[in-house]
Amino acid sequence: MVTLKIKNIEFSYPGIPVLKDISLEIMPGEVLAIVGKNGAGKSTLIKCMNRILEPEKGVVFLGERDLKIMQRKDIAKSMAYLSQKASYTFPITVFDAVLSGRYPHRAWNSDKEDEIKVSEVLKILELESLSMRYFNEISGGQQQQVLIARALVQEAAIFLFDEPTSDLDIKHQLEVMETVRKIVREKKVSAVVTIHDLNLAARYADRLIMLKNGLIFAAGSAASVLTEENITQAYGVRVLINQIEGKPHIIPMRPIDPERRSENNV
Amino acid sequence: MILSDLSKTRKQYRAFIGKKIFIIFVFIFLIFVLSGIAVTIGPMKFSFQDVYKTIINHFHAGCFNIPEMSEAVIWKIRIPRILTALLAGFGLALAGVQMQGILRNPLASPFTLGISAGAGFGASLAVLMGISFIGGKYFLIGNAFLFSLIPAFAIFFLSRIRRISPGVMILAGISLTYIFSAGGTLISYFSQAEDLKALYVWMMGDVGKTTWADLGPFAIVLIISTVMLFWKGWALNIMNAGDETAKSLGVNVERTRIFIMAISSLITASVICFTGMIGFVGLVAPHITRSLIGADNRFLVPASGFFGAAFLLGADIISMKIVEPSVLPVGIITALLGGPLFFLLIIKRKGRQYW
Repeated sequence: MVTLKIKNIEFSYPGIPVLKDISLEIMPGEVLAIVGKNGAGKSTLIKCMNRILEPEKGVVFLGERDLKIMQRKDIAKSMAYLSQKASYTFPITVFDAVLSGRYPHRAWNSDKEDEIKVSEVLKILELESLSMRYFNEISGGQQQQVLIARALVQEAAIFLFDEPTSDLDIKHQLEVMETVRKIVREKKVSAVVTIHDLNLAARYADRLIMLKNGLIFAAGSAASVLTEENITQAYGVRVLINQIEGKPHIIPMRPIDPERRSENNV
Repeated sequence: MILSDLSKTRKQYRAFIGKKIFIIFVFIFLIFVLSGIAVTIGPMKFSFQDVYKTIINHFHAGCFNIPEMSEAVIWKIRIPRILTALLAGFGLALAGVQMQGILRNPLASPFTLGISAGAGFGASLAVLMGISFIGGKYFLIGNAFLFSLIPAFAIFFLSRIRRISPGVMILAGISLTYIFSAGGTLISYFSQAEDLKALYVWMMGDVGKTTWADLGPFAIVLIISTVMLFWKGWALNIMNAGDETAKSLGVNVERTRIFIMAISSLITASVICFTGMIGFVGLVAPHITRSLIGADNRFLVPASGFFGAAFLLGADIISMKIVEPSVLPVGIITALLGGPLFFLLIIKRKGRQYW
């Protein structure tokens, strides 16, 4: 089991600082949700975890090793990344898309063992009937499941999901999150999920991190992170919070200007 | 029970792969058939039997009584011509399919990206300044390669600095083509009439000007490049999913792209040096092949090469037959054939659109 440790990382796109001094640790067997408004740096943070983007400052440790000096294939053996919008320029089949998860384990081509692993995973996720369909032609929910299948054959210990639910209808949102949690529980791996839906985050994440202005604004359990005050500060939205099945349930009320509100309070 | 289900999914996939391999063998078979036909065709009339008697006699001297004339024509002209067509077609299609893959752009090809224009400029510089007489043909190849790298890397860096769409990439290629052809025109304006004619003929794109001595280095360049590109097929598949996903799966995206772009430019440059400008093969052959066997580069790359070889040889047969006994430069035929073929592909595309 591998832990991912992030220490004081900073990242900026030309002229725009996005992440300022972020430190966190991801433990095996947990689902960690990253929340925050658009542009808060959720996706950037997840890409820095995997060296898709290289942080300007700070270190990322995968187990004992510094990510910066690792081979990409070695990173890929431990960490899988599932992008927000997956699309292939040239049409390929679901089977081939999943098979590409075996790439980090092979020198230049797949073999029989890889094909068997793909068939197994497709069966587990009940995607067998799609295996010869073209990836770009199946629904968004199915595509997300295919990406999960790819990450499974990759045999990674850490799964990085960049907004896996944002394009899906409510049923598929739940299905994807159920799959994520099930994999984490059964395989004792860890998952990092950036997500907009705070109620899904509350329900499925073991721990939450709320980003604001490139910093970690709040971290901890759903109950401690998703408070009225925090959400107002981080999103500029007035909310009501209920309790459903022991988890906070957020009902957005209206947008407000957080600065003005704190003035009024004074 | 579970085991049989597993093997069912895999069996389907195996059948799918089997079909791809079968098509590759069909292309190879096609190459043999077309070569067999091409060797009997030419301005000199020999009967079918005489041609094959000559070939057999070459390996087992004294089998038949062969006039020296037919031995010379078939062995020194026709067979090098066929091999040149096959190598050039293979190379152009291979360069095209690789460029389409790394740039994730179905319109990429040596010609649409201005790489051919760059190579052409480099070669004409060498021919018209008389450099070729000093360094020989291989200086010409080197020069063409050097200049082919300019548009190749201009496109490459443009696509890195700015996120440009496939369409803009092609527009950049067109502008580079204009720059290089203006440069070529400038050189020819200041050159001798004789050189000019030589250059003009060279530009037409013809597979009939290579000798056995040329074929050796030409084949070596192509074989080495091909081997280096073939084992990148799976990496190319992964890059089809986008740079971020490719990186996350362990592909060194930047290095792979530079490597493949350089090798593809070398292939393009060497084909152009030995044959001149032969258009459309690099664009059309990968498209037709992809529509037949799919986008899995592990199979698409070799299949495109073989199809390109068959396509160019087929075009060369037409170029020899169409206005007999004259032989047209094959570049004219590939453009006349490839243009409408590409048009047809645009009209007929449906379902799995990719551009």
